[in-house]
Amino acid sequence: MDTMETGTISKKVEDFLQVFKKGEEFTQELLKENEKLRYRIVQLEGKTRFPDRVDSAQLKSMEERIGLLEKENRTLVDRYRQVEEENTDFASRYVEVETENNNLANLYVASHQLHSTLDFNESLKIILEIVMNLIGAEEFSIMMLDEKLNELSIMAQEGMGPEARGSIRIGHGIIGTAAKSGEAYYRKGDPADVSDVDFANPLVCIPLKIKEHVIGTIVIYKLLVQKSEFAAVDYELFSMLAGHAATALFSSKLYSESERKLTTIENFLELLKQR
Amino acid sequence: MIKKILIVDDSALIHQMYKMVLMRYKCTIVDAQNGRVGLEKLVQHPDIDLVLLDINMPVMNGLEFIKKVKELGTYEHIPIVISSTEGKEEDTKRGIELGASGYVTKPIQPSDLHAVVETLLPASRQ
Repeated sequence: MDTMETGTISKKVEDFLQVFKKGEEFTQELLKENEKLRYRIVQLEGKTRFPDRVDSAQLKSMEERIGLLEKENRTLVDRYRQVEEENTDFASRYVEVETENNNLANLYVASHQLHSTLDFNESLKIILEIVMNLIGAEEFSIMMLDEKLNELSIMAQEGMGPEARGSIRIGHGIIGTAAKSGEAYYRKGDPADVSDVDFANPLVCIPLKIKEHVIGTIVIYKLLVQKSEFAAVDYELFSMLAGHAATALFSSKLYSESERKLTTIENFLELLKQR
Repeated sequence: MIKKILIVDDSALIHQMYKMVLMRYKCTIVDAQNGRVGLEKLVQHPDIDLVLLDINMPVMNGLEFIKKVKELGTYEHIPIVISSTEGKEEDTKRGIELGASGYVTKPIQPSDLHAVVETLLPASRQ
């Protein structure tokens, strides 16, 4: 009995030992697996942390790029504003240059026409055209000085009534004073208001001068309906007329007189030859 | 293509002024001193693109010129721009009624002339 029991026990012990050994092996395997899994977790954690580090680097780079672009954008906006200001400045300068160009064209045309003839009547006609078409006067006259009588009389006129035959003594009234002093007269106030304007009280009186010697005047009484005020170029034209119209009239008058004298002399010589 | 402009005006001063102002368009200018000469020039130059016409002229005035142009029919497509020294509204109105395409008032402002020319000759600006 004891022997049988002992054998049974030792077998059970052996079985238990084997189970225990297997359990130990299994535990060992589990520990190994656990170790492997831990290692794997560490690896995975490393991997999951690494992309975060890449993103933050990229983010930093992108932030820097955005900063640069924003700076560039501000620079471009500033430059755009500068260019826009320059553009406005150029546009206004273009208008100024265009106006100046037009004014010079008017002055050139007027002076060119004034010196295009040696015929006295044609010179008068050209002055009338300049005053009418370039300045825009409706009623005006050109008066010439008779040095013997010491008075101004109308040589040509436009739009005037019976007073067009009148004459004015030098030194008398606005016209006579302007002719004596050589200073241009511009009536103060609105040029379109002609309620107080008459033959002796014009809007404008421009003495025609060769150096300081006055030979006549241009007298304006009324402007065209559409002309409400004098522009800068009108004063330039007045100034130009004061000198150039005077020389044009003076030289054409001299030329006409010399032509007449020449004809007389030629006729006289012809008569002498016939005798 | 170079444009051709007919100027009909009895004032040499106005002719020269127009030429100065129109210089930038590099166009050919044909001159006429009154309406009758203007009609002759139209016949000689049927390729005229624009007429700048004064109203008050001797021999044949601007209004008569427009009437004749419209009667002839051949040249009625050519735009006519009238100008009047006196600034009489009735003249301008009559001119437009007769068929003028536009007008400028004297004293002529180059800017007004540019505006009219650039409207009627859109391809003229070089």
